[in-house]
Amino acid sequence: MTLSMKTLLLTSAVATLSFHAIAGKELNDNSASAKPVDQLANKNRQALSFSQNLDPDLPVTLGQSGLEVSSKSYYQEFSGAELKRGVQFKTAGEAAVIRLTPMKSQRLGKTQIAPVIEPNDLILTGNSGDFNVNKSGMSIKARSDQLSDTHPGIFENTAAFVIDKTLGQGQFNLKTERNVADDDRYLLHVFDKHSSIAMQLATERPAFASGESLQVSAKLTAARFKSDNLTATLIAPDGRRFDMASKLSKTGVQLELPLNMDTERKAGELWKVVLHGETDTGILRTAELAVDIHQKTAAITDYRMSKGQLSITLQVEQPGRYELRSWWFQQQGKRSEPYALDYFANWFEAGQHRISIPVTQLNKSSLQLKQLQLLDQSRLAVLETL
Amino acid sequence: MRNILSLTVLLCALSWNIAHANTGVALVHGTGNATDAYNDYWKSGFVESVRQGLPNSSNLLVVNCNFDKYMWDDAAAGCLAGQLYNFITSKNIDDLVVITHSNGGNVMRWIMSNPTWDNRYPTIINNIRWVNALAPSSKGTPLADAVMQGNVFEQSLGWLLGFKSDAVRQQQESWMAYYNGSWLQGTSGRPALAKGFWNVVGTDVESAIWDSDSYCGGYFENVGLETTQNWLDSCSDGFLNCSSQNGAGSLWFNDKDRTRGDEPLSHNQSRRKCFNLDVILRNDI
Repeated sequence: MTLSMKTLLLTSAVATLSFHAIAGKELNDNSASAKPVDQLANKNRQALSFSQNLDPDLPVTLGQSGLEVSSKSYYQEFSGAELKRGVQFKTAGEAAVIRLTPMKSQRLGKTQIAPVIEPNDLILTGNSGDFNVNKSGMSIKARSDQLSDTHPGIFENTAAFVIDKTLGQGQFNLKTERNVADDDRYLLHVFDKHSSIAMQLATERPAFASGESLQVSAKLTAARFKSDNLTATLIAPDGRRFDMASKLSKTGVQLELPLNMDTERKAGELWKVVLHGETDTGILRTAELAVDIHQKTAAITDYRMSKGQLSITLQVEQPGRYELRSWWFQQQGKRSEPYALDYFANWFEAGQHRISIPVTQLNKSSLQLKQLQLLDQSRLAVLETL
Repeated sequence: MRNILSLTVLLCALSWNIAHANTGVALVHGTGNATDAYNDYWKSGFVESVRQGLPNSSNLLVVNCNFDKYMWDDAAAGCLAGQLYNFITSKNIDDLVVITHSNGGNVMRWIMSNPTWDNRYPTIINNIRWVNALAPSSKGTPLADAVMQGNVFEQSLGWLLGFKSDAVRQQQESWMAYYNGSWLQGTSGRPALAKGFWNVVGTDVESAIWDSDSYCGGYFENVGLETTQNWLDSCSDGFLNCSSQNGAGSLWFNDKDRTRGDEPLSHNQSRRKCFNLDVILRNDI
């Protein structure tokens, strides 16, 4: 892309943005709060609006798209004693990436982390015999300090290696020669990068509110689930765990959980659905899917256009800063094209509120309000998409 | 014909505008709690070379914020907004070129995507010419997913595999998929960002011991990046897949298409004075 092309595109974007402040009209003021204001992500109390033109030729997806994740990896916990004896793992593709990470545990009432096991302390046994991971010419390996230096804050303590291609795939045994304590804990990650077997998790929506039912579908590519080795868990950002019901079908597995628990979380943090499964050929997979689970802190109870204004009635359950996004499309012959995205945000106490937002584009009779969204900026939740 | 005339008028207006604009450049670092990004993150050689492209050399800002936090956090986007807003208003900047690296692109995109979050955001958005995003982690990185797999918080132990910063958690691919679909703009199917977001994509890592190019940005860092490429696609810079780097906004260029000697830019090199990157950025001002 040349500078001139960047400049050309810039010209079409200039002079399309405007912002101003508008006050919302409060109908009620019941100020019951479930969360102290100082814990909110956004405490801004000034009304703000902003308008952005949309490119008519750039398709915009309306509604909420689901989330999905695909995994060719799994992880398994082992004790120091097990690692000294040797632990088994199985791959379905060559050149799998193996990582061993020490875990925390409690000993005599104190929290401690197991010592790092470096590639030099590991013996890998495969179809072709025993190999010291560091000395065998294993194509790529990295000590914990090398990984940590490369990505500070990401790979502390962990050591990794790639199984040499000549060792192929299948059953392996990994053993340490380091004299670790029997009750030390380690997590073995196996990334079966070149395998065709992947586990997929998907939701139809990206976010769920308290009281709704979380539905997740799971399937395997190039394999079938072994029915008696499935564990599905929903994990809250604060570590709380909830078992999910799983139902095996011809196409995969359906996971479900009614969201009756306390769903309060730090603003913006996501929950995760974790599924551990095994194929009918003995290959393990773990997939983790992030979803937003939030409290329904406000709702749009009514909205209508009148006299050049968009009037919206909000029912607010918890005080906070809320944003309304209105998506305008323009009819061009038989085609409905994106036209503008209008934003309005303000602080609202609990109760019912009527908000009137002037719609500057309304002089064009061909405009349609295609989508209206309500977002909780204080807790980071998309509450409604109408 | 009408379109051509309109375009000509617009281009003339833009040329006049740029010629009379007060141009500034802001350098926005990636993940980390920066206190001296000039020396630690970018290095002086890179910054001073980029500065040469400015008509007024004092109109350059090197941002220092805590990007270990979530992008929306006051210490991240709030801090960035404060520094950009003060820069714009104190120096009367009306033509701001923002250069981001890695996760800095996400924090910048947060500001551009959520104009009513903060009173300062509209002023910032309206005064940006465009953002040049060097290796932005727009769709996250499989490395963040890898280190978070199995790493859960337990009340008695804390994080089982050790604490990972909010920024690392945020840059998991499935987390970024949620934020991109709900809170951020610029990805496919979402509204475009209000101003251009132009990606420079690092496509590979070279760490051959005999190749002097492998030493730009630090030889051992590049060796490590080549190792972590094993978690990534064949097109990656050692930290991010190319699909993530070009996941929001528009492609400006893939490294080898513009760099000296057609060299790839590893994730460490895309913020350093390597293979003429600094000159390309300077000439874009």
